[in-house]
Amino acid sequence: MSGDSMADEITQNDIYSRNVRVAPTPAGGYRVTVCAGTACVFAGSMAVYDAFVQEVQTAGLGDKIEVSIIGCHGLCSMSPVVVLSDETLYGHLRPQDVGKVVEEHLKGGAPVEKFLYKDAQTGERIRDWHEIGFYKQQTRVALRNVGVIDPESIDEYLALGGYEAARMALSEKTPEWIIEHVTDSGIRGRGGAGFPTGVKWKFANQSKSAEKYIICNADEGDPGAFMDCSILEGDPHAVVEGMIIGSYAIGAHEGYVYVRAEYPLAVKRLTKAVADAEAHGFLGKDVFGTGWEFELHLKLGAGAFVCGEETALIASIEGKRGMPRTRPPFPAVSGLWGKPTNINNVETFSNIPWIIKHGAEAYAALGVENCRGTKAFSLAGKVINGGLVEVPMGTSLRHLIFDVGGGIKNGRQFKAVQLGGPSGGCIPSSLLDTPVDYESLAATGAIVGSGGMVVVDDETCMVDLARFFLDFTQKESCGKCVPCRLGTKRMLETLDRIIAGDGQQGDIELLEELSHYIADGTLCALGGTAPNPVLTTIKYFREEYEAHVNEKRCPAGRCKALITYYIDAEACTGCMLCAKKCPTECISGERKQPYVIDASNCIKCDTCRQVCKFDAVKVRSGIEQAVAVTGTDA
Amino acid sequence: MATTADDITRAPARPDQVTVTIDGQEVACDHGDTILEAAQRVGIHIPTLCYEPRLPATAACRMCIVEVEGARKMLPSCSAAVSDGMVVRTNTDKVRAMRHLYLELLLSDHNSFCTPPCRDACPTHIKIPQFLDYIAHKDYKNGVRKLREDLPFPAVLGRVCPRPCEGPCRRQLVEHPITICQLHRFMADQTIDEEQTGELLLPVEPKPDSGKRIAIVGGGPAGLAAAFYARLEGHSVRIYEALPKPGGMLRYGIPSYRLPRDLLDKEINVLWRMGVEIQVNSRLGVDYQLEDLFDEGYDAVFLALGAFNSNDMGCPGEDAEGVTTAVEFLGDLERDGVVHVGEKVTVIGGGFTAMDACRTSVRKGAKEVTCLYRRSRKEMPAHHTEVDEAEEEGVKLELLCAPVKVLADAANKVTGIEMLRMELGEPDASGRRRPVPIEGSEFTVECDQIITAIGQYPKLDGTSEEQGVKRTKWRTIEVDDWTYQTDDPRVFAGGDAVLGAQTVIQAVAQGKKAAWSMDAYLRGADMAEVGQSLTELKAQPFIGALDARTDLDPRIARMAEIPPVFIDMTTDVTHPSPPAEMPKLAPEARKANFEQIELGFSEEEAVRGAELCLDCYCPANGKCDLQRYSIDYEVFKNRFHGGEAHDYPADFRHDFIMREPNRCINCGRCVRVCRMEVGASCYDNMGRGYDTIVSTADNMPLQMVGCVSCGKCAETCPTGSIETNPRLLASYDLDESRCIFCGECVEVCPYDALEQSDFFELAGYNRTTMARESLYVREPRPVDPLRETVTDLVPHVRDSVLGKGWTWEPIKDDPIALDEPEERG
Repeated sequence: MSGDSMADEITQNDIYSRNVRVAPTPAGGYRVTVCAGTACVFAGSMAVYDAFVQEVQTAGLGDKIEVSIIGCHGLCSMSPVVVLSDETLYGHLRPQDVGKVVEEHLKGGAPVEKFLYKDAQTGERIRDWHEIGFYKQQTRVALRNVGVIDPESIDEYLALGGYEAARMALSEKTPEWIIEHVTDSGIRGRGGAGFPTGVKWKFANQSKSAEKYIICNADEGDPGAFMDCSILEGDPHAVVEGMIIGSYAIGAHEGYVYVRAEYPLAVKRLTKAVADAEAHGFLGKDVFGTGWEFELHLKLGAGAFVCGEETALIASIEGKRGMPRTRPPFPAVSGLWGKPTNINNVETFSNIPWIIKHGAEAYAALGVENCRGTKAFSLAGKVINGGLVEVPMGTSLRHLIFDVGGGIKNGRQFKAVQLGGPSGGCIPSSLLDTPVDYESLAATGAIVGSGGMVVVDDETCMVDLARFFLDFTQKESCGKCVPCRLGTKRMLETLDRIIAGDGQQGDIELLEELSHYIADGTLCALGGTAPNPVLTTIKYFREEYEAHVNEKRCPAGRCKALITYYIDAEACTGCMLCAKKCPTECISGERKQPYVIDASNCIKCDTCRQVCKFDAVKVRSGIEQAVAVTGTDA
Repeated sequence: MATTADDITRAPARPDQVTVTIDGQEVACDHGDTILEAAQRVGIHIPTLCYEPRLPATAACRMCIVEVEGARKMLPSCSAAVSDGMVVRTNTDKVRAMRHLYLELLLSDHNSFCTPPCRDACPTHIKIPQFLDYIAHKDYKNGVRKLREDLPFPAVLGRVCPRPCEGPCRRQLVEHPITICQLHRFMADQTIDEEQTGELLLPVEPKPDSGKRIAIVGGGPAGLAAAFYARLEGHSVRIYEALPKPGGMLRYGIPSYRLPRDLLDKEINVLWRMGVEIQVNSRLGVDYQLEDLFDEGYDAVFLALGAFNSNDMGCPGEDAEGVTTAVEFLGDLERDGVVHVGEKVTVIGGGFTAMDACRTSVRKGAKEVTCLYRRSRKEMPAHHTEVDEAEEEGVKLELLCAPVKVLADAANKVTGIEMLRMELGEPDASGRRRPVPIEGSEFTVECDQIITAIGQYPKLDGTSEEQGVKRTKWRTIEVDDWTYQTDDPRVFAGGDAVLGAQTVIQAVAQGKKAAWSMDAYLRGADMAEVGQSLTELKAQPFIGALDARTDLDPRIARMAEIPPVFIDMTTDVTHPSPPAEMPKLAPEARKANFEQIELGFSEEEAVRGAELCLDCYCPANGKCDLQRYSIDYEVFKNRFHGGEAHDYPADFRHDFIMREPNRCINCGRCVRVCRMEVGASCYDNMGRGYDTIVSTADNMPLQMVGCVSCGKCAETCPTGSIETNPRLLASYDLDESRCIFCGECVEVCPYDALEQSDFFELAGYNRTTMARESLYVREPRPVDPLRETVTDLVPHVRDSVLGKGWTWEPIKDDPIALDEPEERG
């Protein structure tokens, strides 16, 4: 497939194709950049963009103000985010608010207070986004251009020094120099396993073959992870440039970006980036005029999680069912079409130009011993500042969650953080000072993984959490090997049983046995890491499992089969809100009097608890529940 | 074999080789060898399910995992290459525990069974699921043929069998057992009348005359069954029956309300029609002696004398007038048509015979019938329906009492019997609780007739220890456990004469096996060796025994007894639907006559009843690797039993390759063999996660996805998921002398196997010779009797292959007069 035809195809019916410059050269005015990361797009940032274009025109500022889009700016919890060239950050903007911003800020020069970031602790409004804790604590290498440049403009990338590293490497350096440099930088695979990139490149370089391939693994599929997506959407050229350098280093003339079709925006921008790079002579028969030949193709994956495993990914590119095979032979020896192949993750590639440009020492100066550089994380869950972050390796989890993330939402307690998505594990508060590096996290039972980080508060049931992630891996198992296909299914059934209140003595031990024997015996890392959420939750929250099994009690009050809702008569003000919202109309009472829930009709949808402003809706579980029931009967 | 495993082990590694240590043994191997190959070289067995030696390893099943020193995880030995100094352990506790778990997991979604418990419980091991399948397809003739592989008399046994098969039926997992016995009665009833004059429904065509002669002494179930199977083997058989009609206890012990005499005659008539001679009114020791038989030229004698002597009560007054045995009572009635029945009859005993005596007395006009039994109702040997029916007819049960003394008047006529109350103590050898007398609990039952039915033993008149017919301490004939031979190698014995009084089905089983044994003897087998090898076979564990059995001559192998091992699998048994109850005559309508009580099923009821069978058997039983390892690793209890299990429809759309995905373990061997060896690429894994299953594209029939019917997928399948139907004809010839070149065969062939060619005149020029040869349809290949195939399940294939298998005959008369061309005109 050629990049061009694909771009056309996608553009034809693409809801995101709005990259129209209002004024290419603003004459001293503002530049308004609307975040076009996935989260912001879904929060309506494209309507906000349209509104800005409209309002700016209406206000007659068309020649002074440039409205454009940027890749993910990072602070997804404020989406849609708009950043002005005077570093003002507006969040939660609705199209109808845009007029006010244009009027007061762009025309009048006074920031609109109510759309600024509000610090949860101090209540202070912060205008300059650099001053927000979320950004202040970050060090952006891989994400250096994300949220800064227009991802669909190669000119903006070039303006910030793009493709310089690749040009320099290809025209002045040898592949050996590059590999040595990358090795010295200490960068390790950012896809999760943390294999030293330089060493990997060396293997691929040393494999003797006329044909070699370089593949970018952009099959990011774990729930809660969006780093690769953001990089591809926000700075696709960095990946292309990294791959050009890699192709030269290992001697590959053909490359693939294996990107999932569920990332349409990333696919679109990457397609454009490849086309633009080709047009500029950065890809093709004569890269940078050095005579180096490198073709880059996109391969759209159908969204199987297992295709993030490199051998399954290769099978998928070859047109086969995406199923892992045993290694050795490793892809560096026999990969795509049986030829030596090097596979790196998106984030790894996007780091490469920076390393080449700034030197290995600069990169190695970041991070800690054995774990150099930075790592991007997608911070999600119950944190105040959720979004895309990048910090040096070795940063403590506490720092990440409380300083960058701003702490836990709604004043609740931190309970655990799930790292590395469904393949990772959860880490309890007692281990919050664990530094984020491959070895330290592995010691806890979790993994760095691709960098998904889901923070949960004390209202989350850990058994249910483990079940959620295991359910994902079970459904995504390729079905090839027995422990993964059937073992995870039986684990899931056991968890279901525990959650449903039918847990039996020995179930926890059965889960542990299954977990260990699945982890030890599976073919690939998907199955090998699938039990991690269960193992770590049992390790750190065993008492919660025991409460479910022995007392039929869910301590977090989440497992529907084990709880009953009731209204605390003292706290209830009789505001009727819960009764109005109840879908089964099982809440009744007199206005201004405490309301009552009819448990027999309650479907435990949790709506009442969520809407209650006085925390009057509570749940009972376990023995408490039994006592309450008997009490009512008597 | 020039090199042994030891030689290789001892051989030092060449410089270009590496040395690894496997389970403490040093093995020299080449670079690139896998651990599995290295282990196999020194005779260390590592279990594998997905490993296919001809293809690159896939490491899907994870059974071959081994521990390698220094490795973080277990390594799959089928794909992990050796390296110098590697230390491998193949059988540690952890490795075994993991394999055990994986087997448990595999079995938890293995919606199939290896072996049906009913067949194991049946003394003669009838292929029950198979014959039920014929009923479900209303194919009664072939059903009877299938049944007669093990039981010659389906109509008779369908009425009198105590049904040991129904007890363990797996249908009980959801509801009631299948009414197996009544279903084969139904099936036989459909065919028996036609069989009296029409085609005989034999399991195989009788073999050509062997020239050997067998005399069978006794025309009871054992003798008749032996005659049936001996005749099928091609021997000429003559039955000597002491009584006026053949049938033994079937006729003279079982009342006609349970077994109508016309049915018995009809089934015996089948024997007559097969060429079995029956000489009645000839009693051994009276009318002829054992030696006379050999003088007459018989090569073997089968003593099936039955158990016609009754046990005594062993209490005073037994000789009083009015005390009779049930055997005499029932026999007299049958022989003479009349028998004396008292007003108040007491029957002693709780077995079938006792019930027969009670109910016959009722029918013959006794005013009051009391049955006295020394244990409780639960321990009664009679089938519970018999007891229930007797009670319905007015028989009074007096349980937990034993006779002490027969009371008689001055003329020594019975007036009553004194009984002693019993209570149940500890279980005895038979597992039933032993009755213990209660002191001083004597009581009297008034009666004018006492019929004793407390067990029988063989009447061995006419045989003696000197003749080689030794006795056991139970007054039965002593025979070899396997060959049924007495000390005189020419004399065999079976049935009640060997067993003591037992059930009809056990007698039939003995008759069948004795016939096979006599066949082996008559064909010159070394019987000592036969006995020895069968004994060794039984001592082996299940899989080993099955392996060993395939090495035996099939004629001897069929005599083997290998108790199956039942493996715990999760199976999806749903849709409860209780089987129909067989309608019966009401007690009032039946108690005054000898009409048959059970009225039989309607076809609808029978078909539905048969359809309920879970078909819990597998054609790969004994050849299945999953079964083998499950037994090796003792996976008899499955912790995941009851979890979700798939229920896939079986795919019998291809005529040759039968797929049963419920037995598939997703090892992918068929996928790879078909892709890499055959090139057809019919299969692949479909679905994701737990729902992954090997199938064809869109689950299309194999013939639509490029299948070349090579059968390699079935050959490599480690379980019974893919099986082949036997292909009886290797190829078809075109009789060009008769071909009119219409092209219809080309049109209709579902596999595109025929096409036009230009070579007709060259190839078929000499028409006469061509035609004469090809007019003879080739002999069908014999079906291996030890291996049931999926064929049994597929009606249309079955019809074309098995059903008509031995009715095909060479075309004897050329329909077209074919003269030599030059003579023509």
